[in-house]
Amino acid sequence: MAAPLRAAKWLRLAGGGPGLALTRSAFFARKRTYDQPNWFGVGLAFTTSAALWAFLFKQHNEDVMEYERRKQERHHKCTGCS
Amino acid sequence: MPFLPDEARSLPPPPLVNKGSVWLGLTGWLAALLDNGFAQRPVLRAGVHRQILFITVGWFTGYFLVKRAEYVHAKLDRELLDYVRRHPEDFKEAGW
Repeated sequence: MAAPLRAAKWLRLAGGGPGLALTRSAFFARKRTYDQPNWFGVGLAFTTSAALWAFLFKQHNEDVMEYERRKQERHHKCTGCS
Repeated sequence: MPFLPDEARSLPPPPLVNKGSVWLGLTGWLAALLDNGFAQRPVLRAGVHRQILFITVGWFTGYFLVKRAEYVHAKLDRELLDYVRRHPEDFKEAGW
């Protein structure tokens, strides 16, 4: 019982939270600092965007090819070999 | 249930710039701008990577949703016109 209380007190002082007020919050909210860009997040966002666009372009081209192919097939089947 | 059955591929695909993609891309962008606003960051200049990602996700989703909507509409049209063809007595011209 004492150890978690001590840990909570240490965390409270270390985290710059509500100070020495006797609170029992389970977590602390920290103010975000924007001094450094979040390079990992930026890289992840750009990589994901690029992958999504690449997939979209590929899918669209495949769709167009398949549609044209089926159109040719249907024309060939209906009119026979002209 | 598949998202799109195979026969949907016989339909012309929507263009890359289509109503659904543009609209959802814009909503994605608005979501990113709102996120900037709520986090008290400069609304347009901050988190450009986030704006681009949200626009991309919206655009991507819009393309597939439009494809599915066009398939559903085509299927309904086919069934409707088939019914009209099979029941000509119910669809006579006016003037009786």
